[in-house]
Amino acid sequence: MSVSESTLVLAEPASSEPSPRPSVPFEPTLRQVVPDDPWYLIRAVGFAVFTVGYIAWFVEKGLIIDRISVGISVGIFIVIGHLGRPVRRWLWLLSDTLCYCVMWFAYDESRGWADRAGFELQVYAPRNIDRFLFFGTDPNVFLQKHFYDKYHVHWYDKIASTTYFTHFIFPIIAIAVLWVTSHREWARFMKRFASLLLVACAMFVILPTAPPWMASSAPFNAIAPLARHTSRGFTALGMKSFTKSWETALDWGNAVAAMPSLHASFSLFVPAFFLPRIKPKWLKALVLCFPLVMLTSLVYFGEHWVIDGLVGWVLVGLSFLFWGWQERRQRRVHADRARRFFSASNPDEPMVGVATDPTPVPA
Amino acid sequence: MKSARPKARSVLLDASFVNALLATDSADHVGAVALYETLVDRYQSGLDRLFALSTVLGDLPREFRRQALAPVLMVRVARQHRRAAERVTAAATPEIALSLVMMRRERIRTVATAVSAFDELDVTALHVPASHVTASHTAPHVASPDEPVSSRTEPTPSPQSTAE
Repeated sequence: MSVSESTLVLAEPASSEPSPRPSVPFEPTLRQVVPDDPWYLIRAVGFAVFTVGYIAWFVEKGLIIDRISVGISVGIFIVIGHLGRPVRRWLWLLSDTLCYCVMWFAYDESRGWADRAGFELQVYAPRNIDRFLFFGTDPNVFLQKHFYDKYHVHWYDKIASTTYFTHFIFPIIAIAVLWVTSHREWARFMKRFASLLLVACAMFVILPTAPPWMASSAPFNAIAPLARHTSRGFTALGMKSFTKSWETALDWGNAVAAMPSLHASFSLFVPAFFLPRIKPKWLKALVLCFPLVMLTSLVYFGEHWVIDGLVGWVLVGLSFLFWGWQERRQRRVHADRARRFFSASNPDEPMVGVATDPTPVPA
Repeated sequence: MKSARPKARSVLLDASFVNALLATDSADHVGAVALYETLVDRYQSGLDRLFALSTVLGDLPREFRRQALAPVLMVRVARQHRRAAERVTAAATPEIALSLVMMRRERIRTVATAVSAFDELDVTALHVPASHVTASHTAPHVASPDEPVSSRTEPTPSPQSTAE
């Protein structure tokens, strides 16, 4: 049917047939008039193959955890998502990848160096803050005393352990999916994410903090002994983690990077970013339970103090507040620029004084 | 807990609309400016995102692009898009065809336009309101309370639903 036939009209019926339905306007969809992107199916198949391969790797070798292996898997995903895209998109991808790699490299390098920067190690301060918050009780000790069973892995151990390990995939999945589907949203996400990492690294340097499991052992003995059983529940489910030693001679380990807790931060960051898009309030509430479960798990495992998680959440909030304010400001500047142009070009309206706008027009 | 924020609507400013904005001697200029002001207000509130094709923006005067169209993001047109536009049905001109291709590729469902070419498709077309006021140096007519509203001037369309 040609598009010019915007109205469907039924043929005049015979007398024995029911009366004709009224004509209805027919509006062709974009899908009908614009040819499909021939690469769409190829990308879809590519994603399906990637998903199957990722799951197979997970079952066979374990959850990919180390930075480089994660980067490779994300890279493959991103390349699939860019198949058939214009050359300019690939150039953007190159530029974005460079920034992405620099971000993680800087993060890991600074994290690795932070425990040698010479700042005083915090051991008793976070413990005292937790005791203040919980009326003299050590939350780590309390949870392990009441729930940890050395000889039996309970259902909550499995939930807590699995929740812990989502840290290694949820933010990455969000980054990868946004990268492929919406560069604009990816940029919004990464601005907030990079800011969080930047502040976290600064805190790792200035406030090296011993995690509870370290503080509970010699020479500190700041709290009662704690068991470090993070992966027990995960293993009990038949899962394992995959970490390849790339032998890069890079020192990225830092046992005293407890403050802030990026586990807690990321567990709030991803839901918070997508929360405005969630409509049912019950679903919003459910999603926001995730960071609570994460923090409880971290405390239960002795990986973090409660205050580590709370500070992590505050940093997420500050990052969102800052970039939300910056984006609103940018929109206001652009809108004012447009309004000034048209009011100035209308001679019937008084000229509006235009202050020099130092804000550069973003590319 | 706050209710969900409506998803920002993406609006493509097509060539006819941008030309109407630029050409002060165009019959559609005043109406285009009025519609654009509404869109800019919505842009500032975060309700709309404004786009225009690189083929439309490329030839514009630099000052116009940087000032008047500061809120507008560029949608890059590549060779593959031009090839797809050649196969588009239901397009009066190659420019319209290209707009349709980019709207589909970039998932844009709303177009601000000064022509009626998009009316027969299932997209939301924001039309430049017809205006009997020329674009010359004339003060806008202000109706007195007793004067009936002129039927020749369409009101600026109210913001469309942002549900997509």
